[in-house]
Amino acid sequence: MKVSTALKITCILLLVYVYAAGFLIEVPRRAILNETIRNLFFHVPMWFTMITLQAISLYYSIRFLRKKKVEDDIKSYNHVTVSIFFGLLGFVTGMFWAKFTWGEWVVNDPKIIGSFIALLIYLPFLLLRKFIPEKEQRAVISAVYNIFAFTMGFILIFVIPRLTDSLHPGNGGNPGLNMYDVDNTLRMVFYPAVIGWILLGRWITKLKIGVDYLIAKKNEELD
Amino acid sequence: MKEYITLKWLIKKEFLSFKRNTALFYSYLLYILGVSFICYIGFLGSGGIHPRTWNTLFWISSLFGTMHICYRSFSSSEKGLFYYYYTITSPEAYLLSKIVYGFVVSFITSICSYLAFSLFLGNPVQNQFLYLGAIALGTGCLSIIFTLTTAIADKSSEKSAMVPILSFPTSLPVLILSVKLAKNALDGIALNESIDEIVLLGALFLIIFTLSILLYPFIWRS
Repeated sequence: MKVSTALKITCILLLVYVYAAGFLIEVPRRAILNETIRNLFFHVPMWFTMITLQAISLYYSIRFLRKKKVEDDIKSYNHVTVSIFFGLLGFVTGMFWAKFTWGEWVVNDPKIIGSFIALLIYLPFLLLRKFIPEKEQRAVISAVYNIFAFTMGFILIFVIPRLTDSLHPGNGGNPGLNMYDVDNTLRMVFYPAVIGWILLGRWITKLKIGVDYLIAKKNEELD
Repeated sequence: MKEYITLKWLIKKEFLSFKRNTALFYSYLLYILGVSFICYIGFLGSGGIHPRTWNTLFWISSLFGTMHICYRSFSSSEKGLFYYYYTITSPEAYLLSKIVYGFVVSFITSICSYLAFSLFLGNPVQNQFLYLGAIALGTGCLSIIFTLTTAIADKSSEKSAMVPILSFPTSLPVLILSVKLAKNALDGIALNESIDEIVLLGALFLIIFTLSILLYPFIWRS
């Protein structure tokens, strides 16, 4: 069996497990969280997937600038689009969680603001590609912008929120995930959920890349 | 050594063309006067202005000022000249001269803007020295970001639309930190309380600087 097929099967099994166990297991009772703690399996992995896909796209951008191959450009572009999609999903799930725990759809919180700006950084990336007509130039410029955008987004999400207090665990006065006594029942679903969603993200990206390869082949850009 | 001499001449050329075109600098000054007077009119009769509002307005005005100054760096009228530069200089020296020009002019403009705001809206700043430091660090980082994003947007067909949407989100880490540092100066908080922000801004400056020096040669070649 090929590795990619094995990964797809693992992804399906893990996500079926996450959906079944995520809604059925006994969760620890927390003061404000109550049953919404189950959102941990669906909200947090979205951000993990987004960051992972962006990191992969950064890798392909750097490789494109070194080797100048069209394949790398297609790969990096598709990773960015899917990562934006996952970012939006993470935002929506986070809004629901915030509504039922902190009482508002959008809370004034450095982490939320940071991730919203990270989306604002990546959306112009799509526009930029529309506005550069020449193909080779478009690939180079978007690779350059991708590297710049990833660095700024990384600083925004991981460095700036550490300076101020946040409602999210792990920042300011709040304890991190490990000290949050996420007990072992939660962990048994949380880690498979993260892996499962990341695999799903990769899978969607690979399908999109395949379509773009076909289009590029039809236009005789690839050999 | 040769690099250094070209860089020196490029920077000299930037400032010479700036000196020949004094109307440009007056246009920046007029922009500042206009903005600060609009703020003055807007808050007229509302019984003074809150220091934090003052701070935010000041940074927004200097953000737009820096954008206008760096926007000019890669003007389309230089297209023919660009091929000439391509043969005689390296991309790093070319970018560096643009950055130095952008930084110096936007720093001077921000200082003028600071004076104009003090004139029209009063000066609530308690630690003037730290505030000037915040302006220097902030405009330094901003001018690098705007120069790089203008270079990126210059290759697209819609330059004027692309510059703000590319550069505003990417300049936000710098803005968050420098507004915070400026707020500390505004409230007269002791210097060792804001060491964190100064160190982070300095680190950010180095990161952005190395990134733009590393990335610009690829834009240059395309």
